[in-house]
Amino acid sequence: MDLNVENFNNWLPIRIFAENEQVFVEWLFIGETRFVEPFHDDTLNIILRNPFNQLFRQKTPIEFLGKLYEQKRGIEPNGFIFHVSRCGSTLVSQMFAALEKNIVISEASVIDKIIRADSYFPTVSEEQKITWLRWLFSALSQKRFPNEENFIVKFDSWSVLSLALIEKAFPDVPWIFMYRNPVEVIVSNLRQPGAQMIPGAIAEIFPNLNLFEILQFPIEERFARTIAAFSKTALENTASKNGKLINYNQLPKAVTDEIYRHFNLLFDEEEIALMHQKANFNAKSPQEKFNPDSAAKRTEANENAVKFADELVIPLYEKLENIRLKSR
Amino acid sequence: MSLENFEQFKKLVLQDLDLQRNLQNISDRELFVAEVVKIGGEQGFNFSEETILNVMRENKQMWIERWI
Repeated sequence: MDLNVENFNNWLPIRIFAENEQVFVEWLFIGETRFVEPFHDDTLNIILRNPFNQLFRQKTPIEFLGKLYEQKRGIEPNGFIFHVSRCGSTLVSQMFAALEKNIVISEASVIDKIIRADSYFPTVSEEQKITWLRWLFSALSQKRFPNEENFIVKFDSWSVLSLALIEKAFPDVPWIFMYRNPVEVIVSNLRQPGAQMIPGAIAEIFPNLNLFEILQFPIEERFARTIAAFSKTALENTASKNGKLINYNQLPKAVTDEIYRHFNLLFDEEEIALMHQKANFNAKSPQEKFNPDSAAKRTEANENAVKFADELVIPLYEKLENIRLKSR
Repeated sequence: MSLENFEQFKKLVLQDLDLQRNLQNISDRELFVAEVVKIGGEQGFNFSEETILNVMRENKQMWIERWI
């Protein structure tokens, strides 16, 4: 492979795909843009407005990520954020992203493509995924500014189902699992369904059922089963030395009281103040003021939302809370 | 032929930081496409604006379909 790593300064892997039984990476020039938007792909969409980036991409075999990993290692990850969705995880990642010393990658599609590589490269082994994840994270955490020193990753909500794989790839990286009153999460998704709620999108939620069969379930039950699957996986991993449970109702204080310490990070008073300014705004729409809506969501919940939350998720939520409160 | 010429020109661009910087500074899409064709021609690579636009369209489509 005669690709030169120096030609990839300020380029970032954005897409992973298979072609002729090989796996390739597509790279985008990101220059000096920091990832400060709520979601990683939001920032990429902004970068893609530049015509140069619409035309010029670099394509490499995935093994080139390995060459970069060997010759130019990125910042090792400090912490991972897993979550049920709609539970303050974006606020947490945005608070960390408020500081220039933190590289924060939030729900990058390219990470999901490695975790779920089976979908386009069925012969991929677990060992390959682990190696590829390490290579990819190193490429995503290349230091572009002198003050960058930390690297934090927020995963898509469904990635918690692959927590065991991710811990094998990064056995010493602390992680948090974030959750919230299940009724509030269901109502939030009823207002605007997340990608994880697309029927059939996550095979583990309704194993052995086809799309038609899945659609026979009430929408609230589908959402509840999804949140339950994420919560159950988190419960199965609470014995991990790396894990910490965070309830939405602990935010935003928990970010600078507990989470950053759990990630072995140190911030001074000025940095903490900067982080907390983010909490005044809607994490997903930063131009809007934050408006607490837990009570409104619980009032808005219909009979089915409450019924299926009670049946399928509350028992798991209560277990998470017991573990969280005992660990304090 | 036009696409092959563009691919060769692209290799040149990806090795030349100054050329990259010059092209990155053009935010207007029409002007950018015209400049790419012009510089390509100056370097001995002939391709049409249509070729450039096709590559850009295909890149956009692949980006939109990245989750699949």
